[in-house]
Amino acid sequence: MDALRNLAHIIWYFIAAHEVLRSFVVAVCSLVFMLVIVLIAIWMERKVSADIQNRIGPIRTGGLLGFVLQSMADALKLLLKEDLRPAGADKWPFVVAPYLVFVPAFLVYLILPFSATWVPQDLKIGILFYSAVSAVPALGIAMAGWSSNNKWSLLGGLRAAAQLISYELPLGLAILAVVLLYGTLEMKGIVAAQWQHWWMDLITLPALLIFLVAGMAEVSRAPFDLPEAESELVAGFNTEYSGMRFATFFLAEFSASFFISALAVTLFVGGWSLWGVDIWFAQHVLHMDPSTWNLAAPASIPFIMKAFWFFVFLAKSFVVLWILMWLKWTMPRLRIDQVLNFGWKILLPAALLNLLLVSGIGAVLPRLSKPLTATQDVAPIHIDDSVGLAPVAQTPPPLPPLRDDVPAPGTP
Amino acid sequence: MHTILHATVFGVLALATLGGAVKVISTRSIIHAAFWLFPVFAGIAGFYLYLDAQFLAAMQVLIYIGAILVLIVFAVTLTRNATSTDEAQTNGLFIPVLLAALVLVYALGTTVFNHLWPIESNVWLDAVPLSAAVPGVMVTDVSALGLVLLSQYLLPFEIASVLLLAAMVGAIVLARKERTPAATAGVAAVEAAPADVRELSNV
Amino acid sequence: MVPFAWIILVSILLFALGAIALITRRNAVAALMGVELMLNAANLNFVAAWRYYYPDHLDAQVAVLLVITIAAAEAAVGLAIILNLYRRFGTVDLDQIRLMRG
Repeated sequence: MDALRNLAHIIWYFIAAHEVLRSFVVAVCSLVFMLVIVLIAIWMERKVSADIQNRIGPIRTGGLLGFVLQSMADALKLLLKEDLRPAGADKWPFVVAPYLVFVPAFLVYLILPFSATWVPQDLKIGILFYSAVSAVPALGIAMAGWSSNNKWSLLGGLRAAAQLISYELPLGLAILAVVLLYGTLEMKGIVAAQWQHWWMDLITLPALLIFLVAGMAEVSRAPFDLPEAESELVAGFNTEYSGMRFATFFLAEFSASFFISALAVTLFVGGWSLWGVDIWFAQHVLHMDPSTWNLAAPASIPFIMKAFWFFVFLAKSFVVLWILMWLKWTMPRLRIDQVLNFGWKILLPAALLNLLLVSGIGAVLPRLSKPLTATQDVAPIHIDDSVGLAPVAQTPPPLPPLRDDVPAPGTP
Repeated sequence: MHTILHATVFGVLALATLGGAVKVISTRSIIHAAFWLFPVFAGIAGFYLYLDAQFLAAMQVLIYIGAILVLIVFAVTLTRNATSTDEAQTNGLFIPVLLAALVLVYALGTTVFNHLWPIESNVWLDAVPLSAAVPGVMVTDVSALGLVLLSQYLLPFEIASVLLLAAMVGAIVLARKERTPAATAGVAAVEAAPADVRELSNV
Repeated sequence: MVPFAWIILVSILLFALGAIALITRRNAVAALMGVELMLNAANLNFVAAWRYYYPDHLDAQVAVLLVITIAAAEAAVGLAIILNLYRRFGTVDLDQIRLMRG
């Protein structure tokens, strides 16, 4: 047994030491996590919709394990279906398009802080990574719409692209409010700030509403499911897709819905933290000493707390996902002009107003960025106010060591 | 091992960028040319990541792929009847321009290789160390960029924002459909009609 | 890191390809794509020079940011003009659109 554990340790250290290998392992783990989540989310969607429509929903497959097996059976059915490609389709864009939608939907999971110190890839640009990567599916959907050689698909694809671009702005502005308030782009830092000051979530409440509405449009769920409005466009951009290619689109959609919920939780609802209750519980029930916990040193936090936080994060995300499903199944679909008008004339001004409000509050509040950065392993950022408008780096920097056969710059 | 890794990354990125660019200029279908811009922009974003400019890579993906490329696909779709793939896609200048481009590449290439750079330009380097832009803020931090944008480069920043506003207004004015007299007359006729007729025509 | 000249070589080739697209393509949208390729090549140059020779300066990143901004503005206005041309002439062939007056 000990030998086995040592072997596992050796393997883990080998993986951790090789950055490329580590990235690969992390990516595979994220992919598997995403797939499991999507399996559960699809089953949940079917159950929630059945509940709202006064039905029972799927009960035949799997019994108590139905929440995983039902979706697996669905996936298996799709796998076995014939993979059709219309004769008039534009060949390679038709094949590539599903991946352009699916890969970004999975990539964004790399930056989610699942628990304290559990972040697959802690990027410095953090939330910007999401903003950037989530812009790609618009192209994939437009590609699918074009290459299907079907006018419903083309209309659906163009609608989707227009909708995604329109709602990216309020979404980005809602995220920007959070970034402004906490003074960091790193997901870890944003959650750590909420962990330490749980009341900050109240300030970002309007931003949460804007984020959820824009997020629903971004993942094209009802009432914003115009790109695949079956009463107008058959099935929109994925009309001509069948079998596994359709499953890829389907997977990407559910993955994106869960991610939007998880991101809303991370940015606005405290992420893995439990508004101070977790610390109270640890202190008074488990008799731990939270004052020794340091987010920069993973070993200082007991594993049981990290696991607890992980489940808190999952639970919160699924609650938000459930709210989104609830909205989806009770709302009628909007018209395309209503969707675009709402995005540009109501949601965008509201997001701008909210940004103004939050930056005002941020200016009044004491600077929060200093205690936050203490939780990170990088040197704290001190923005010296005395720098002000003075030019940065006035003195010319030393040039790299010069070659000896070249005259130094400035000498004749 | 280290060198092989770097060379592989570089090779993949260069292949995506240049291969995509070659397809952009050579493919007959204009929509395919637009799709082939994707590997070019993504490859450039990869180069930015390789060169430690994470923020710029994010901006490259967000703006070039998420906005400009989608806009181009839109434009191609809206003008899709304009050019058929049967006719020639290039004007008569292709051969002379190709020769001129080769001369340009040769001239620029020799200039770059022969220029006396502070560090020799065609040798492998260990990672050039990054340093702080201002005390405590690394040059790769987004906050450092924000700091210079709002101090040293305030004027260009403001001019760029005014330019964006002007471009937005200009694009809306240009792309808006002009109301033809007939259409205006139609609207006026509907508005002048009795209420029950109007209701019918609105259905 | 790979030699500086390699990255500059990619940038030079990209610039040349963009120039070819800009001058020879008959479709106006394709010509615009050529412009985007050339702008990208210039940006790559900025970033490479920053990383290799001036790693403590931010000027290159600011320049790239401004170029990206201007590229976005240019694409929006350019495509609006092309749409207008298409509506007026029924074609986006740059060789056929020669009249200065509508």
